[in-house]
Amino acid sequence: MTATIAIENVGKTINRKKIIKDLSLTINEGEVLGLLGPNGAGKTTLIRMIVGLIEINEGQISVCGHDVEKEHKDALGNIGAIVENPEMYPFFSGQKNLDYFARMHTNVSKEKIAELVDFVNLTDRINDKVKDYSLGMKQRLGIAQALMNDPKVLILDEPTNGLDPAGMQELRRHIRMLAKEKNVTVIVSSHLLSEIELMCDRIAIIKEGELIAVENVKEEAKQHYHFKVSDREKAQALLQEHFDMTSQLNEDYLVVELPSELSDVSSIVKVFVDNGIALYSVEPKKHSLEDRFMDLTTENRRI
Amino acid sequence: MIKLIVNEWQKVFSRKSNIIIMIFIVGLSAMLSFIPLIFENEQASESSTYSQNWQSDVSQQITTLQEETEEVLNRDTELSFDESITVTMNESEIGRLSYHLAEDIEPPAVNNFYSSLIGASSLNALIGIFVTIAASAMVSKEFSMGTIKLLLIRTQSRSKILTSKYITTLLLAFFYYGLLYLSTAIFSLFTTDMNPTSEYVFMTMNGEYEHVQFIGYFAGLVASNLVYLVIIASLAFMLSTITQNTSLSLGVTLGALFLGAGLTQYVASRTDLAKYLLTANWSLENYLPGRMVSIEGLTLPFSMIVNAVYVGLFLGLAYYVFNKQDVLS
Repeated sequence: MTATIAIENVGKTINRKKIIKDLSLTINEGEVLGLLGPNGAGKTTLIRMIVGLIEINEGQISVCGHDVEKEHKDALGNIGAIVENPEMYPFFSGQKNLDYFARMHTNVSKEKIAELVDFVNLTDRINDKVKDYSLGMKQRLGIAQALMNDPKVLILDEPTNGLDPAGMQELRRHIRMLAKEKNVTVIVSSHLLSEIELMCDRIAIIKEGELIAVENVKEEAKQHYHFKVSDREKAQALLQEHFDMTSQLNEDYLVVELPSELSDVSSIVKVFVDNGIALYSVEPKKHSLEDRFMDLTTENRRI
Repeated sequence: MIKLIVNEWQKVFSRKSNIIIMIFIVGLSAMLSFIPLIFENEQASESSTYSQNWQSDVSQQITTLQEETEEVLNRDTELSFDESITVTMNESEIGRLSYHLAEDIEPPAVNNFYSSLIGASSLNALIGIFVTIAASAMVSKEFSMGTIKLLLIRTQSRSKILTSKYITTLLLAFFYYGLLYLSTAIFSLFTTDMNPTSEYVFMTMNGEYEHVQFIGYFAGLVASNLVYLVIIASLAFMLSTITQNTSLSLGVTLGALFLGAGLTQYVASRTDLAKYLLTANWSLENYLPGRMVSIEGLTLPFSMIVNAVYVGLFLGLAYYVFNKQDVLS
């Protein structure tokens, strides 16, 4: 895999406040990366630097091998983006807005625009003025606008804002499709993990301008199993004895951490039953990314 | 670049304020053309045209006026206000007609095509205000709408975007001015009499009469009006770009428009440096025959250089800031 976007030791100071601190991140071709962080963490600032809206104070960013500051034109030619809100000209219709942006590119045909309108499902309302659009429709128009130049990199800042659950599912489908079929690299930012978890391959967590963690979404988390048994102490001792496994005692449960293979669960159950322990329930508990996100951000707050 | 200008032009023409401005311009030029008809006095309609033998007509007219003046002056009573006005008007009319006779130029009708066209240039200050309104919004509006981001994340350089906006501003200024003159010319065809000669006779600041070829005079007037509009457009455009604030740019530029002349006179009374003020130089029509310069000793080439330096500074500042600034809106 080749790096489509390389962010190297980037720093940004606005009004003497360090918004981004020594941030490095590489994003690969065809990868969907989620930028996650609380509001004001610096997600939008980072995105603005990638698309050349603000100066990079320290470090450098390259897109498809082109430095965004020194080779602005070559770098930006590969990017389609929505930065912050999908602001379009409210006094133009959706169609007129798209025609407008098409004139800023070379070779965007009428068919291409119609195709995009269809892709984002706006065909019925495309001739209405944008000021009469809902936020969700503006988001979709924004996506159509961003895809106009067949970008290799698609950057969507808070794209789930204003979308209803159906719209969110559709966006997820679109993004996965673009990444898989057209090998587009996608950056999606959000302050809500649940909204982007399902569409991302990796999630970069940013807090106060620093990259705290990069998590692989696909990597199966270790499963926790909650065993409800008649004698927890005895069960704990049996686990130690038979499987050399440590376990924790919860209020009602015996908590065991296992790699997610079900055969292990069945052998544990067998040992418990053979040793006369009554087993009431076994519940798998996934340690979700959300918990980790919360852990990471709160952990950091304490420091 | 042409596509970018098309984009800008479309935006300007989708604004309601632009439609209102265009209606206003046409309406005012109509008013300026039709009002003389409403208030037309008998004398004007009488002398509207002359026969083949215009010299004797004019001599006749002068004699009538002289007789009228004498009759009024020979009354025993004190001159009433109306009477004194009549005397003054008659004397100035006699002066004008005598000049025409002496120079052998057939006098035009009182309400004639040339004066109507030249009179319309008095509305140039108003066009200046409209240009200010448009130029002040040119860049700052994109920031306040947030659309600047969508403009700047394209492959076009920032300079190119700004250039397209500047050219659009100038084109719009020329368009407003052209609209004023086009509508004035059309209305005047109905409301005025065409001039019998290509000579334009006018009164100078000292009350003397002079004549020039109309075409040359008119071209000079148009050129100086356009220079004035370009300067104002550049000032408002620069302010709009560096402050990103429409109202501020509008306020400052209008302030310069209204207070410019007064400021020049005030500064001139204190120091010689007043001649370097933009407001002392931006009205090149002062250099037309018969007009007075704003400060003694100013010359046309000097004013042109000062104007060029100011416009260059404004644009330099606008491009510098626009290329450097972080887009945070």
